[in-house]
Amino acid sequence: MELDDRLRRVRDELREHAGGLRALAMVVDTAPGDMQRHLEASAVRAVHRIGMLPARRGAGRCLELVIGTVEAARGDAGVALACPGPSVAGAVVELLADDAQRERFRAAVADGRTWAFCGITEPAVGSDAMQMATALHPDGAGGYLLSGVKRYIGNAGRGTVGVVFARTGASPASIRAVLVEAPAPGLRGTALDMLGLRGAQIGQLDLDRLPVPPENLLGGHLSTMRRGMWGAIRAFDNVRVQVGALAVGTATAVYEYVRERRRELTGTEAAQLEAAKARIDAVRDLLYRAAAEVDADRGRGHLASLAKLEAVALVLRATSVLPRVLGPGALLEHPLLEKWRRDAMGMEFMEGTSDIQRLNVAQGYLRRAGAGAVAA
Amino acid sequence: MTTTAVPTASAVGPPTVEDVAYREGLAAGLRAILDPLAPVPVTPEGYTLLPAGCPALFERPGLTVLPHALAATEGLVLVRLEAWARGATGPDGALRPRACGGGAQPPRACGGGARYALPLVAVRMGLLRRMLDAAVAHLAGRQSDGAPLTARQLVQAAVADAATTLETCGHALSSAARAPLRQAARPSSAAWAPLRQAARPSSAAWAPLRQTAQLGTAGASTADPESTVDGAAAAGWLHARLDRADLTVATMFGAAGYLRGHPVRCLHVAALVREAWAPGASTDHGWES
Repeated sequence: MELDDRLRRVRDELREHAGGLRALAMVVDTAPGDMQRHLEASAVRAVHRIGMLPARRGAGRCLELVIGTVEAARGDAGVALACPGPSVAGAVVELLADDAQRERFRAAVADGRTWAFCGITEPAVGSDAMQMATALHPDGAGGYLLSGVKRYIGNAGRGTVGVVFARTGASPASIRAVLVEAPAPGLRGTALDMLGLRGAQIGQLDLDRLPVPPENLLGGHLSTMRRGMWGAIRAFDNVRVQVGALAVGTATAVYEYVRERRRELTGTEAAQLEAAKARIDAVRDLLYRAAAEVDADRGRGHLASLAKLEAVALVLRATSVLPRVLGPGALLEHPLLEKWRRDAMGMEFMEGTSDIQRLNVAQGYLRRAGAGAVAA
Repeated sequence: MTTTAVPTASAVGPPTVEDVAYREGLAAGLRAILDPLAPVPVTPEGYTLLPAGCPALFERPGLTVLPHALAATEGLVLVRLEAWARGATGPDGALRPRACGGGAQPPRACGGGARYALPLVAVRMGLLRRMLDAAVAHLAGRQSDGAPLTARQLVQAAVADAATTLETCGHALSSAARAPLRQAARPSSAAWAPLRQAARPSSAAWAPLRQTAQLGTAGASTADPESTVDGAAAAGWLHARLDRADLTVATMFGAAGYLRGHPVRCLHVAALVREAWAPGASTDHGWES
């Protein structure tokens, strides 16, 4: 896929800093709560700088973030997620916020020392937006009260600003996203001890009648249809391709790590690495196209699921198969490879497992088949 | 640990390796197959994971204990045996003690892990079966559109894949356990050592495995050559099958299975054990899936 100048600059800048992110990988994995110590690192600041780029009028922010995330994860996905900045909440804000809300959010994360959370997943229903239970009730004075539990949320414990999805009623149109700031009465964020992607400080948000002023409801300037379930689904599509970017970046990291350390290859190993490289390149291109589709908003969001499905399959394969090129025992002898294997497992769960993505792909295909588009 | 009845050969007689791993976990399963006086399985650079609580295992020259928080949660310890690092590999590819001090070290201080490739399959099966049972209970308790998740076809397919892997591995293991006596004429192959030991009642590594297969010596001695499996060759694809099934089952718990405190972490740690205990035991190198 051909990238324009700005997209190439994003790619090249973060590619340049991938080594700096990699250098922090094991430190952050061991002590993810100590990220404050690394905030002045040039690579960490570069991730923040790219995350803060203003959206281009009429152009794709999703694709830009995907390109940046692939390169950052090429250094290390865990550290990329540990960097302060807008993170995935920024993508939701770009999609659903009005100008004033967008500026408030950007100002909140501008200092390079502030993390943002994005509350979608719930303990009982995962990322199934239709069954979301977190509720937004009128407080009787023009504002709202937010109650519920969000679980497996990046930056839940340390984020001081974020977006939380909830519902005001039973219908699909009642799904709303709200801006939330911490600390606040009725909001408690707790980090969980996860197997991998530990830099993300994945955790839980407990919301107990958290006051939400009316100006914090996102999408008030949009039509009812476009700010409800449509907005949530578009946001999820956006986040899914970002997870796919983490996967492709990590697969690339594994490939390059192995390739650098095994310079003399047998014929079989060379063929294996060649196949790996071809698959990585193909999935990366697929991911870019899915991101461009999300940006284009042509109702083909199932491509985001398809891209995440392929990207996660790729990284799970890469992290289990490629280390063997370094010989038996590579996962014990190379802690980074073992860490990336743990990280890859987490990508399977983020924003819907592969089974959920399969269902989305099937529904998208069948919908098009029903409309005659497939036969055409 | 639950004490759910395990549908294996242990209904009569002593527990099998699979049962031990099912009931007591990874470290206990490894203790069941490990002979503390025999060579320790290590990677080419001398790394290995050993079950804690077995002091004799750690009384070896040049052994360094290394931090590994995840392994510790399963009662395992990461160690490096300097004497057995790659530089000590002999001309025949076999591991040799590098720091022997002119042969001063006992010959069985440490060594390779080929002998454990098949017994480790039994350990991993026990863990997988335990986690599959737990996953099914977990899924049955979660609802989607008014029905338990176990009613979903995709979920059922995943359960079927894992169950099929368990059955396939069990049958292959049983068949491999019959093979050693017909192959006993191949004493030069290191890979066959544990299989030859199958005939020895005192073999710590192999006797419980035989029980898994529910085979007596008489049965083994009369086995039809075409009904048995080449265990050394089978270890690779059995571990590869278990790798895939482990991932399938771990996914069944959703993101909860990604918590470091979740019991399904044992499958991840077991795959790390495989790195040293079954070196090279995988034929799953392809990019087809």
